[in-house]
Amino acid sequence: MRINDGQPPIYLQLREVIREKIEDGEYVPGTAIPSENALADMYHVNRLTVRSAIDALVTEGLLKPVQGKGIFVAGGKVARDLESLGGFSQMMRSHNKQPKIKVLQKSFRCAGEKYGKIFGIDENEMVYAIRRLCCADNEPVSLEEIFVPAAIVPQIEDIDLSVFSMSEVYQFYHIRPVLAKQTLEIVTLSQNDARLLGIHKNQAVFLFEYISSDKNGRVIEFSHCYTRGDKCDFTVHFQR
Amino acid sequence: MNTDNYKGKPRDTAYEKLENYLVQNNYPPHYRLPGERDMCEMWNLSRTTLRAAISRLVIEGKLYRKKGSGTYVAPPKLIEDLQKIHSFAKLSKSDGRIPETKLISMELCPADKKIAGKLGLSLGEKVWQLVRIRMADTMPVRLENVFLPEKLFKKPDQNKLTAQSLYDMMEEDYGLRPEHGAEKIALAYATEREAQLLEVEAGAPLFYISGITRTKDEVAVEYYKNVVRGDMVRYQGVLRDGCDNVCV
Repeated sequence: MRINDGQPPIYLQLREVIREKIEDGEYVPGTAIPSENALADMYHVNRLTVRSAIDALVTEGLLKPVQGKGIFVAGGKVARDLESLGGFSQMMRSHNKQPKIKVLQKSFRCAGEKYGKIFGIDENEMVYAIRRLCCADNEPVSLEEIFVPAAIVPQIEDIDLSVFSMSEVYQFYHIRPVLAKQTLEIVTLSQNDARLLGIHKNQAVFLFEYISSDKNGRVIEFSHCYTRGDKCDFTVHFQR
Repeated sequence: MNTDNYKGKPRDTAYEKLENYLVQNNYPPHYRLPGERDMCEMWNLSRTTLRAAISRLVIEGKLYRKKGSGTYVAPPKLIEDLQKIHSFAKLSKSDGRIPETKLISMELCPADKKIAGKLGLSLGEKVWQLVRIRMADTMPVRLENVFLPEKLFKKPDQNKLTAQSLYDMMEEDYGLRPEHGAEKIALAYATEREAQLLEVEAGAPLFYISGITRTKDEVAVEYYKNVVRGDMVRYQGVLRDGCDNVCV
């Protein structure tokens, strides 16, 4: 596609080009679009023009700039957090802290017996496994292990999981978790995991297990979240 | 897709195998697992891998080891629903365990600033402070520290406090039916006294749960600070989306 000196200003033309690519799925939600320089070269326009086009789309909420990483395709409005709707609401004791997610590991693997059963898929089908560390002001707060059947999130390996939350990722795929079964226990960690969380091996942590499903009852995520008890507490509402 | 590359780490696979084996065979608590050598042969695992898998299940509280004797199935945790008003008696019964309550002390004392604030009383108004231990199959599970406004509960029947639930006493003797509440869950470590009463080691991890229970008319009937053994209880809840009548 070429940009010509037609009626609308060039930056508006470029804006529409990028918008189309997002709508056509060429630029996938959760992935970065080409850099400003690359776009400038591609369309033979100057960087300022590119910047204006991008800024307009950022304002619209279609793109999301991330410091030091690039410009990412956002995916509509963020789904309401399940946590806020009932059960526990996780409350960081110290507010106004800068959250940060570090992806430690992500890979496809066979579902195996355990996850095959949880997701109702064959043992040989693939699941995507993510291990990540969530920090507040650079201090580790929780260690998460997330499993999702690969079939429902194609191209997930291209999504930067340190930028997008899982609820944003599900939004990209039009998946809507409506129900999560949750358990809470107290456990201790292996030496390695304790070190990752910055605690002593003898210190206990909260273990949250979530099994989330969509409105058809299809299980879409299984996760374990090891949360430091000295960093968080939880509020619960109960009734008859 | 060639799946051989995606088998996952041997120790993860071993852990999942062993976990499944326990689920499928539904062994009773304290059942002794086959020796390590036999399990290695059964699943074609190295000793190191098997031990890593066992260690993880020990950490998760599903197995326990006895020195020089082997690996055993740990008794399951009591599962308590966080979103339902708590009834310890119902909880243990539904699990086939025999509930028991021990009243450690019951005293009338003036409310300090914090307790008065929680219960909506004036400073110095009288409250009953009850300390109770809740047990399941003779094992102490929960140590309760409960404050009741004296103006609502003139003289709680001590017999009922051990033989029956506190909520039944409130309803039957005083016509106040606990309906809902909110609580905070944190992690704590057993003090000497808590350790002694709960029969755990000092420093053992506990759930620390404090909250207020109210009637339908928003009358605060109790403020409590409980500690619960982390090795005995698992909480559960259900989170829902798209349900507009859920108020938080």
